[in-house]
Amino acid sequence: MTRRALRNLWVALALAAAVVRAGAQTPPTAPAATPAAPAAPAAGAGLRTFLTMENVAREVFLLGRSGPDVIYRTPNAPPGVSATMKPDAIQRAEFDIKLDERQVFSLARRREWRAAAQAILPAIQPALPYLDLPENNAVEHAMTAGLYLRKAAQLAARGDVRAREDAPRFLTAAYNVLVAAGRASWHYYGDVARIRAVLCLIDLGRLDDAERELNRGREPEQGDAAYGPYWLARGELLFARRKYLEAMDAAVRAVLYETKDVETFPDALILTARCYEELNELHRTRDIYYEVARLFRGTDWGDLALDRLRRIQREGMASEKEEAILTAVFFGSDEDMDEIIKKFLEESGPEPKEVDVDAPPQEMGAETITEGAKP
Amino acid sequence: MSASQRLGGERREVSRFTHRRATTAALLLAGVVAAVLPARAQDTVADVRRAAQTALAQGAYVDAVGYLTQLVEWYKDSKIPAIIAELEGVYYNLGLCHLLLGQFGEARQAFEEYLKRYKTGFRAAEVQAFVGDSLRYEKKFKDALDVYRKGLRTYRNDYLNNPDLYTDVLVSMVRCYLAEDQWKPTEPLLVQIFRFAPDAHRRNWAASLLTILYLNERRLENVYRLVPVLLQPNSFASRSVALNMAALNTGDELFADEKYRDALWIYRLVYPHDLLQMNAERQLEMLQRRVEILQRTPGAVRALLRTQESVSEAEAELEALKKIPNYDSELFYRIARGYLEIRRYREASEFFYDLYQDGPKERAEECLYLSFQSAAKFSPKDKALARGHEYMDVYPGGRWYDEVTLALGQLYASLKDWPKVIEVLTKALEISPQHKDIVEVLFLLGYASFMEEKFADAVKHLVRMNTDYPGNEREPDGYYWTGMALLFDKKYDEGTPYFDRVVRDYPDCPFAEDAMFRAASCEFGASRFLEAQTRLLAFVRRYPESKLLGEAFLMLGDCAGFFGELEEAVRYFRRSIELGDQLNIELYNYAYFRSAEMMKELGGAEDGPKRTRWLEEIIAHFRRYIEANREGSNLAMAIYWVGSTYWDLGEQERALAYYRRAIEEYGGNRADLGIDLIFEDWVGRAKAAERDIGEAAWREMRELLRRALSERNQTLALRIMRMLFFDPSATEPEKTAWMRVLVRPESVPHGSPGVLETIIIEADKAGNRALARQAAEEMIKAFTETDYALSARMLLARYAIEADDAPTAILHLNIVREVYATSPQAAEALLLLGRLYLKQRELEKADAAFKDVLGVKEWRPHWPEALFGRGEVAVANRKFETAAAYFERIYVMYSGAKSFAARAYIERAKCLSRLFEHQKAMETLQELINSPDYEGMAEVGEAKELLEQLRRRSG
Repeated sequence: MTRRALRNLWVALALAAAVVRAGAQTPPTAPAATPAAPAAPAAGAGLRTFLTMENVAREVFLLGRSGPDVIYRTPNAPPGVSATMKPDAIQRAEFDIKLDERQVFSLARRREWRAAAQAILPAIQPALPYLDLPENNAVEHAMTAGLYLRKAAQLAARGDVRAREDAPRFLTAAYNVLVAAGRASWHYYGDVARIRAVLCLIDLGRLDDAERELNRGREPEQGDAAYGPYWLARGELLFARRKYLEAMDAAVRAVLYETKDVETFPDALILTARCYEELNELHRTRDIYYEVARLFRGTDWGDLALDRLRRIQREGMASEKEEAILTAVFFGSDEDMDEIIKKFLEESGPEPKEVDVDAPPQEMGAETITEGAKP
Repeated sequence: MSASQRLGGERREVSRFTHRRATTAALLLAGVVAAVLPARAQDTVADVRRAAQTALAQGAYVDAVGYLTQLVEWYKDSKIPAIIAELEGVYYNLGLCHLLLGQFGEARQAFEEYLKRYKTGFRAAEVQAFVGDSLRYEKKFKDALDVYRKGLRTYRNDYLNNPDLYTDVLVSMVRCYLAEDQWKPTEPLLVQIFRFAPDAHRRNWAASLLTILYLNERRLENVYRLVPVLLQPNSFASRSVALNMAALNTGDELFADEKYRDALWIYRLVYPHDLLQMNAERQLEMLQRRVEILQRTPGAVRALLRTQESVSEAEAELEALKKIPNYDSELFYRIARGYLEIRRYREASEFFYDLYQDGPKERAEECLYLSFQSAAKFSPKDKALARGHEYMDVYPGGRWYDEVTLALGQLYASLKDWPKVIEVLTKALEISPQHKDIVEVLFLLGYASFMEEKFADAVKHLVRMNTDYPGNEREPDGYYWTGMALLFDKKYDEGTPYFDRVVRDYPDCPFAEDAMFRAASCEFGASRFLEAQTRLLAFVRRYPESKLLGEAFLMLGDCAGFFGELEEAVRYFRRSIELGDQLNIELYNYAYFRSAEMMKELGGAEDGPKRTRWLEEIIAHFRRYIEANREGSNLAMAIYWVGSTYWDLGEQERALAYYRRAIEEYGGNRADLGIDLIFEDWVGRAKAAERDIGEAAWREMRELLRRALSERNQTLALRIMRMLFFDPSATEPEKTAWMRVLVRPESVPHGSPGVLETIIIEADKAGNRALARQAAEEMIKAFTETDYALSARMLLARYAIEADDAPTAILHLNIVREVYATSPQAAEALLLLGRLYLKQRELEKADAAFKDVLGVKEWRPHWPEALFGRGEVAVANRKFETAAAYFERIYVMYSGAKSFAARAYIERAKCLSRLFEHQKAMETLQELINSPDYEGMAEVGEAKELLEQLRRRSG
């Protein structure tokens, strides 16, 4: 990323935060559909949006918020004339946002998190104050941007001194975007985003704020999309407070019931590995890092786990043979994990072995040669 | 689970259904459009061209076909380049309209004409793909594949520059293969899609199908590489029935092959049935919405077709899912089992517990059992204990009741919580008298009872174990611990045969050596010293390397001592001391001091070389002891022995000098309690010494005081001052000065127990209660466990009683009675407690305190007072009959305790009177009045008055 690009990103983030704040703090509502000066500053001509109300879609330009109400103008309204409407009346909001999803996808595949976030943020920034509007098409992008920013922060935190300095700013930016996404109470992403914002607070070391925020909502039930993230956040918070046993209990809940969300499951697994390490059950720590390294190869989690696994093996932290299970309920596993991991580490080179799913793009078109043959 | 049978059928069903739905969708689209509107004769070319564009923009494909066909008819043979160029778009749109109308033959005809005329046209690559699509929609899969392949070869560069189209073609090729259930050839195509798809949806679609392929071929490594892509929310994987069934099936097979780790990883990919359905429904809704948007978006035909195919897929998934019974509970159970098998016990325990609470009822018991078993494998054990108890409560006599109770008992045993072991296992036998592991249960019960010093119970369980279950694996252990319980219960005669049996019948068992020694201990305990000696000598011969040798020699020493063979006894004690590392500190000290006593006896009372030799032996003996200075050694006593032995040798000066050196060396340590005793002995000997020696000794002590003061060794200085009171040459001013220094608050922190005791006594005597209390509190704080603290506590209790501070008094008195349970002060404390409780009307506690006094023989002198207290409690409870009995017992049995006896007469008479037994009351009073033993006591006068009152009352 160039210096200019980085500066642009910060500008976008700052604007995003300002808009979120403005949206949250606007004064009480003005009468609906009455021409009125917007209480919140309108951004130019406003955000072009198709609002569905009473099953009819109509084009409007969103100008800001007045308390919970939305300030808008119609396309043909004379300059300076606007009106407000209650969000309850809106069935669906389709913002006219230009987002190059393919570029974002491509950057994310290459794990260029900062750039990927930057590709999203300018497009969704005008929509951030309106993410509470039902069925809108920006909340998922906002969530994605928040996730990418947090990933960028985590990567920076593992980098050199200069990179590490960037981490808190990325986290703050991630927090702001996720808080905005958290207002989408109509979408299950709303709760999830709110909890992911809490994770940013924990990463920033603001543990009391994180705890307060986490305790604010209800505890999700099994089956809720927020269940895994909630227990992950709870576990991370307890871990940060050095309450390892309690952290383990929380992390286990995330591991058991959120195995399908790639943004939660590997983090929860790694948290259990860290807890096992603190509880001095190093064989289990090793097993979990092995699991993450194998199942999440080519991801940040996989890299981290592989690194930790190598350290465990190098330092012989789990080299002692485990006691046989004397009172095995069933047959017990007879794997020699030490041997399996040694082999795995030997084979874990930069090049994957069988199917190179991340092959360079110049091989495009190879299907004419390889079709029907083993790749 | 029989997912394998389900899978193949489902997969075929899905792909066929998908194809059928795609075609049907296109045909339906055609059906709703009106019939073709041909161009009218009067229409100009411009009119037709405009009409065609309008129809296309409005999605009126049937109309558009008419207009476009007209244009083709007019210009197909034209040679004008501009017309030829315009016709490219006309052929393209004509083919597209036919395609969208489901007129695949016509579409193909138009597209093929396009390709013939515009082989290098800018839409040629796309048109080639449409030709393939038209064949595919007609189920001509082989032909379609040929067309797609040809396109990829012919238009390679166009595809390379258009990943979207390229991916579409690959996807279409995959669909062709899958329609005929050919999976193998799809792999390279899917890999390419996975690599180059420009969007997450198609990438995930490829990943999902690749996963199915790899799962079916057990290429797990490849599956694992796709996991991060599969775990995307709203992805194809999150709603694919085929993928989930394949994973379920593979998981089952891996599980059956005991590859638990792989099975777990694969099972975790499977979405629960309900979630799968919810995802499919949600996805269908989202795709339908996208179709609406694409229909409004010009130029997105391929995306529209693609999305419509996805809609059909999603509908097919939902249809297929309806036919699959819910597999969730079995899936969760197996995941939990997977965690258990790979030793992730914390995860397993939680999962099983959740299944117990929320899963199917028929499996709840097993799940709770497995949750307990898993929890037992990690620390802390709280969860295991809680779940074990929950099982016992919820499933008494359940299928795993025996396993759970035994394991729970073992857990408590590992925590050394013996009362809980007894509680759990006693309950277990109550519920399950024929416990599966009854031997182990009885053994644990016996062992726990032994540890709790419930020796009779221990014997009962262990004897039952070996009597009812002869030949059990625990038999030697049972005999050994039965012997131990009897030995500790001082039933030596009964214990010996059990130990003998272990030695005789189980010579190789780990307890054999110990049992042989314990058998000898029993003989010794039963005072059969000859038998003990014989057995001990046999033990020493048989186990020359035994860790019990030190103890064996110690007992041999005692045996020899009993037979008067003192020299031999001393020899044995010395052997024992040589093996001192094997002895605990009590036995070690015993060996030293007992042998010294014997050596002294060997020396005899009469002076002579023999005596001298033995006394010198004693001095050397204790010098070794002092030098070794093992933790817990009684150095003060050893110093006393050395000093007094010098004295016995007639070396008075040396004796006193030795004491003084010891005082100098250890006297500065206020915690060294023995030094206070040495001081006292020194005083006695200095007084008894020849005059010159005595005087010199006192002088040296004063010199030592000066040194201590100059060195600010306050503890030693205070100790010496306390002793110098006994110096015959000490003057009164000197004594006054020393007393002033001793009895002041500043001395308290430095005072040894002896000094503090002096401060307490003197301050109390002088009425300086603040100082006395300060010293007493310091004594308790600094010398908590010593007897010195006892008197301090009694003083504080006394002060508290006087100040009406019952809680403080009760606190101290309770400590005295608990910590110094057999001391005379404990009796005193109990009596005071009884009085305090009585005063506070806590009658039950008061009675218990008095009753406790009556339970200790050594406290006999306090019994009359205790009985009197119980009588008073009974009166307070209005149990006059009981009270009268207590009072009567006092003057009948303890007439020696006159004051209590006299008082008891009067109190009994009062009780009888309250019971309206006036006659008996008067007789009682008369008895007191008549008894010469109580003549002149105040109680007699009181009795007379009372008698008079009673006489008057009864007329």
